[in-house]
Amino acid sequence: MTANERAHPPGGGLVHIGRPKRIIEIAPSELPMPDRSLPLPQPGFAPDDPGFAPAEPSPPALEPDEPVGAPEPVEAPPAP
Amino acid sequence: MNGRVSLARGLETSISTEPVLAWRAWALTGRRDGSELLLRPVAGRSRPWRPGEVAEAACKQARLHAAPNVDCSCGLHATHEIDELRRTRSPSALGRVALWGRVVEHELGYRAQFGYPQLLGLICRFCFWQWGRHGHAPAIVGWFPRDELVPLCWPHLEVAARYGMEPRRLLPAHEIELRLRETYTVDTLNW
Repeated sequence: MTANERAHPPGGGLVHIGRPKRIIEIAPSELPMPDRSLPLPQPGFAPDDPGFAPAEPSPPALEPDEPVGAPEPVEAPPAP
Repeated sequence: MNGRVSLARGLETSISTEPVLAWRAWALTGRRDGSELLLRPVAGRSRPWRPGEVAEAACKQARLHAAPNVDCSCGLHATHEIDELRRTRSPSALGRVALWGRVVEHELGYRAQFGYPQLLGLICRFCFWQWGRHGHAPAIVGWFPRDELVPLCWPHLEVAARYGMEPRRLLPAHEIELRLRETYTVDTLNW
């Protein structure tokens, strides 16, 4: 009987996980947990709330006189 | 080791960079307003799993070895299959957990050095004991003395009250579940 079986006898209310099979040494390249450098969301925060995640940089502003969606200028064909 | 041969001697050892994912159940505590939620091991007085912090195993039976030790029962426990958890004492939350560091794989689960939940959900323990994943979703979370939080479905709330297990306060389960996921920054357990 293993220590696990002694500590968790069947019917004792705790989970018995059987005999050990192998040992795995796991060194993850990235920890599977939230990034601690970011603030943890507080209850009630919406996903787009600035406190939830750092805001993305906004795109550069258009020139005031630059027409949005205007077609590219096309050269007129030479006269026959 | 009392002269016994260590079980570790015959075990294969492998190295990996991918955390293991397994099933785990927790007890849940919180304030009477549902704040300060904390996942706790279902047995004993082991340390809670704090939000945003890696849970690290420690051996209470013998402090002379690092946890998990193959010849001991220490370590953060999790199972291969969800049904193995149906014999857990007093579960309130269920989830998928990532395990890493030194991990001892067993026939039915794991014991690990480090862990953090990945997916979380609340369960009615009476439904879970009887029907596993096919039970009712909890409707309320009862707040009990010593800040114990117990999710229950409506039928089992009635049964519990009939047997003298009356919560001091009732909180909406969907709200506590959302708060729990936000607290630990994890996703919903879809099962």
